[in-house]
Amino acid sequence: MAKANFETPAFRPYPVIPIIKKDVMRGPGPYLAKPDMQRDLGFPEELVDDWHDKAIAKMGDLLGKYRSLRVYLDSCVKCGACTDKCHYMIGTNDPKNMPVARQDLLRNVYRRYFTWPGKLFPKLVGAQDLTKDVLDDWYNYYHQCSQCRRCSVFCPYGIDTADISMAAREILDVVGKGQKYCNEIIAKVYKIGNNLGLPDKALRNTVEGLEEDIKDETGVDVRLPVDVEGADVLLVTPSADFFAEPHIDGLIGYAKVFHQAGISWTLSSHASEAANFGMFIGSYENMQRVSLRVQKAARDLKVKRLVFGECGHAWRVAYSFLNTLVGPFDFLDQRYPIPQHICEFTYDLIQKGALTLDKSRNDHRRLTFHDSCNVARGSSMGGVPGGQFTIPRELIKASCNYFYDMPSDTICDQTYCCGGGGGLLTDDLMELRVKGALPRMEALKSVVDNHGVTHMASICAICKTQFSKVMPYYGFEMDQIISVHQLIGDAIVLSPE
Amino acid sequence: MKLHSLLNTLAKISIGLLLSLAVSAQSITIPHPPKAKKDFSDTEKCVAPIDIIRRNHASFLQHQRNDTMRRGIRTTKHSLVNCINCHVTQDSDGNYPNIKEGSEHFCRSCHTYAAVNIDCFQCHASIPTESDISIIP
Amino acid sequence: MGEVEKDTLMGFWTAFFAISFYLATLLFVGGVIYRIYQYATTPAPLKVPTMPAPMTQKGVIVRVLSEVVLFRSLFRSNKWIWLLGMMFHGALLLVIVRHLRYFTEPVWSWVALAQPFGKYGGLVMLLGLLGLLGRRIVIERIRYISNPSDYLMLILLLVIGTSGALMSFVTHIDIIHFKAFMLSVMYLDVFSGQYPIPIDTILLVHLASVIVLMIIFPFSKLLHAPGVFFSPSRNQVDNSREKRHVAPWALELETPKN
Repeated sequence: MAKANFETPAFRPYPVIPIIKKDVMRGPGPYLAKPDMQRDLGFPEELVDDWHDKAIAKMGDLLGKYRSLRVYLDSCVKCGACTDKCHYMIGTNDPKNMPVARQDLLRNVYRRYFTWPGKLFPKLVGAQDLTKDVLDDWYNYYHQCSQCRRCSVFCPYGIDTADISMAAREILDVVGKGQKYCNEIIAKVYKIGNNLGLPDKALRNTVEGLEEDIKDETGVDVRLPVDVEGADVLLVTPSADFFAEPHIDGLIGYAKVFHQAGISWTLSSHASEAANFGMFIGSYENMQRVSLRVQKAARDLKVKRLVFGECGHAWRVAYSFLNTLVGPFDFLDQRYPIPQHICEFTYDLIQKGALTLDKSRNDHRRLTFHDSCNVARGSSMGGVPGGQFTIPRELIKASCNYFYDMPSDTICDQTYCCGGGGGLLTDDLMELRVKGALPRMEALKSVVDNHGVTHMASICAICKTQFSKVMPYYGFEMDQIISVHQLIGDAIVLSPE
Repeated sequence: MKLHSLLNTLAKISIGLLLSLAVSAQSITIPHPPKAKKDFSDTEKCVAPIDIIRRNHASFLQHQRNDTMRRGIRTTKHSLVNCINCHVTQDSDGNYPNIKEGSEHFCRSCHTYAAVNIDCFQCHASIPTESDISIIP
Repeated sequence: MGEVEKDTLMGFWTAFFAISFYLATLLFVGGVIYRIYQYATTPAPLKVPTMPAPMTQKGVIVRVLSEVVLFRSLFRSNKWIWLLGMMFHGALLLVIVRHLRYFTEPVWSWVALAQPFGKYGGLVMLLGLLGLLGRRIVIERIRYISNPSDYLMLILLLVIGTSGALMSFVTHIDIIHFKAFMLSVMYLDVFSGQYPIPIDTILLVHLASVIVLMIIFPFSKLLHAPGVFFSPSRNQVDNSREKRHVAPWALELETPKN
């Protein structure tokens, strides 16, 4: 583990209301996007001279385009219900990480430029001129929000800080103050096809290697096809699944499921990435452009069905936005959900009895499940409200004998973010990531202590990466986080044909 | 928010409001309780100035009740019976108005208007007593 | 005070409050309608209900009503704010119902029925408001997010509630002539001079604060009242896979530019 120049927060013996420590997370924020990355996304290369006017103009533009922004900026009554709900607030105690205070960074400027009381009596209503300091605060604190929407669950008006932070990031991009991590990745997707910049050839080599691994392990020829025209299913999965641990074992799990179900499938080298960082930066246009690859791949490969792998925000974009952004998908088989989550896909097969699972193969593990924020609060599964909670748990229970949920106020729609979502999964934000993981780590600790849980399963590439990085800070092992489909893959009984 | 569009909306709404009110315009009703039988004295119409009676008659009656019942001090100044005797008058047929319906009864006329319950007459008589003697030793 | 002087004074306050009421009503109704129009016509380009969300329109109505009537999310969030908020809003509703007797003649029967309870509703409302104000002052996190306007708004409501309760319980006013004044304002007969406003300082303070509240309503956080109905995270149906949802401006992005 790299030596940290910050302190990992201590577990709290009992739930306490956070004491605020002003400005402890004040700073320059994550690395700025380089000029070429900005250019690739259609944004100014660096902070423009007339950033003030451009930012205000963009805010006006967004207020006209997004009802959410307008209603949310007007409606907050400062009741304080959200003030102890954000994992970054809990982990850092910086008051600007209280959802309402984070929103206020934008709201105060909105009031100053777009409302009469703010124009006439700025001091009275807390309205604020857009100064360079405010712009810097935006950059810093809107990159301390993982857009997990936990605050919106608890807000009496459903005010969603994720929407506000997306708007803020879009304004920042438009004035030339983009974030390196997100914008570099989006540029890579455009140029190479995936977040990790894994070229076509490397992708093929990787999956071939995996096929060999599976053969060695099981003696069965399980294929991971790439660009196979006419396959039934196109699987779009986060590129981390191709080589990162523990993601890769999840990919092997999908392959085994497809194999046993006898459903032909393919990956696409054109859309070799499920993630869509366009959402993180609040850019409709970029989100649409990234999504278009998936639609094109499905058309080009003449598949009948579209299935997404384990990735939280990708599933939010897929479930909630894909039809909007690049629909209609009238060329796919309408008898199946479009798109479908790999968990829905596997669950259906289990329901039909198409999979042979030996739970005892996972007896060395005692499991809990981390609901990923974008799946839990931004999407659904199975065509019933709450399917996104039950289906992954059903998969775990179908493949393991020992499953224990974490405390009820930390799961399902009250789940805590892993601390690395929303475009924050970058090393320059490590302190924030470690501190933001505190509430989840506390919840994990409680099931480890009470039920002897050994592993936490997840269905999100970001969660998996984040946890394997931050768990050691809290005294856990990095391999205690695993994919749900790794459990399926390990339990599945393959018979040689 | 654009000023002219707001003013425009406001103008439209105000015209609409005025029109709807003008259509529904009616004469404003205000209670006209029957006149009392006589003035209290040469200088005062009632036991206290009218403005004060209107605002505080309930308190007076309640004070009087408490003084009489709890402390045994019975005076006549704020006596409910005397109010009734003076204020509740017969109509041309010689009948007293009913406290339970209509707004003919002296008390009812205002109390219905303001939707305030009167509890007094669950026990007390709402019409003048036969004898003027209201204090029984 | 001589009779003439008194008449002049009454004439002044009657005209003053009549004009203020007209202006305040105009701003209140016009402003709120304008805001609602603005919310209703601003597109919501993406499906962003906070999940799990209802999958039918009917379900959405139930969800929104559970927020409006029961403050469901707030209940899950913080029992104290919920209790104080419920006390304030519930009692306020009762108090408003009670005040309808000044605007209806004959008084609607259900208003007359609720009227006696409204008196005590006023006290509950004050308790709720005091609790909310206390919280805002005492709890550090809430103090941090509060602007002067947040305190002033509670104080304004406290002035309204206290002056109202004083008139109910301590120094009574001539409600008969006040009602006649109010009706004459409503039916545009106030300048006839027949229905002067009763001059009781406490009443004038009460009315003036209500007028201020009406005026600031469409320009302040009081917009949460219409806002709660327009919150996309609460009022959208979870059917994005089944039904394509595209905003007009987003549709324009799709048509190829020639």
